[in-house]
Amino acid sequence: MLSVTADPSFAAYYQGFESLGASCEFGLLQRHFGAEPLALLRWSAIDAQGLIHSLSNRFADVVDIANLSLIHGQNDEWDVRTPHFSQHLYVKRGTADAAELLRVTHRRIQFQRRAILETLEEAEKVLVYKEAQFRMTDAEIAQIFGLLRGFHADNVFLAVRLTGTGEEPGSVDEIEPGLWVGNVELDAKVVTRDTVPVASWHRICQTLRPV
Amino acid sequence: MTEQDVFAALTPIFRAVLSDDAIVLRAETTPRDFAGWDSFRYIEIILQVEEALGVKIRSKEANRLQNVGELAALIATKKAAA
Repeated sequence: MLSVTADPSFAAYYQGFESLGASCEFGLLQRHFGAEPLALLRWSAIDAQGLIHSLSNRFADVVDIANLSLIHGQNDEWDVRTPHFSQHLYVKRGTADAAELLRVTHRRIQFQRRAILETLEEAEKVLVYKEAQFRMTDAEIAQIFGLLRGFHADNVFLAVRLTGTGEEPGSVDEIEPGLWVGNVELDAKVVTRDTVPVASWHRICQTLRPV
Repeated sequence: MTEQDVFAALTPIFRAVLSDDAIVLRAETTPRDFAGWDSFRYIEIILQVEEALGVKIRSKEANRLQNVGELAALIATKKAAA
């Protein structure tokens, strides 16, 4: 699937995008090109309603450590669960004290919350959300776009859907100024670095923001 | 606070976060020079820098830094402006 060369000159280009979820897919695309932004939702699982809630209250739910808990994730690793999203920690169970891990994670998430609010208020990045298991409705896309524009009137939102009937992978349309809807295929049940449809993502990003 | 002072302050932070007492920082040191480097550890370094040196680093600034020399220069600039 990784048919586009991981040209490191694209690292800065892909720093210009911010993943809002719903999974790690866009974060893995950024890693493919050498971009490692410090984004809150880059390694998170969050559905459209969770994103809407989080944007509505400026991610305030993560401020109180009582709202965070460690849960068992994939590959015998810890995830942290918050009221509206979970985040992979890439820490094997049994290799760290759970209470200390939660304390450190909470502290890091406060930085990441600060970071995402800065990003939303500066409107310099393209904000990307791709549906995972459930299809985003047009109303959800419009609601998310409205909330993003509430942070800054120049925010650009790229909503990405899994290809269905008649949709070409890598295609993207500007629905209205600042709102783009694209399509990517998924050939694997689990998104990994090797299954991200890089060529389609790359085409979408370059259509929206040419190099 | 000179950049040399900043380097002296950064070294124990990098050693603690990356669990490596042999780390010697140079201006041209990049993340690729550290085993186990990832964005979570980078955030922990930024947080410890903020606490230890009393500066605030914006995520945009952190994302743009290419090496330790740029981090030291940013901190020295912020300390001078404080």
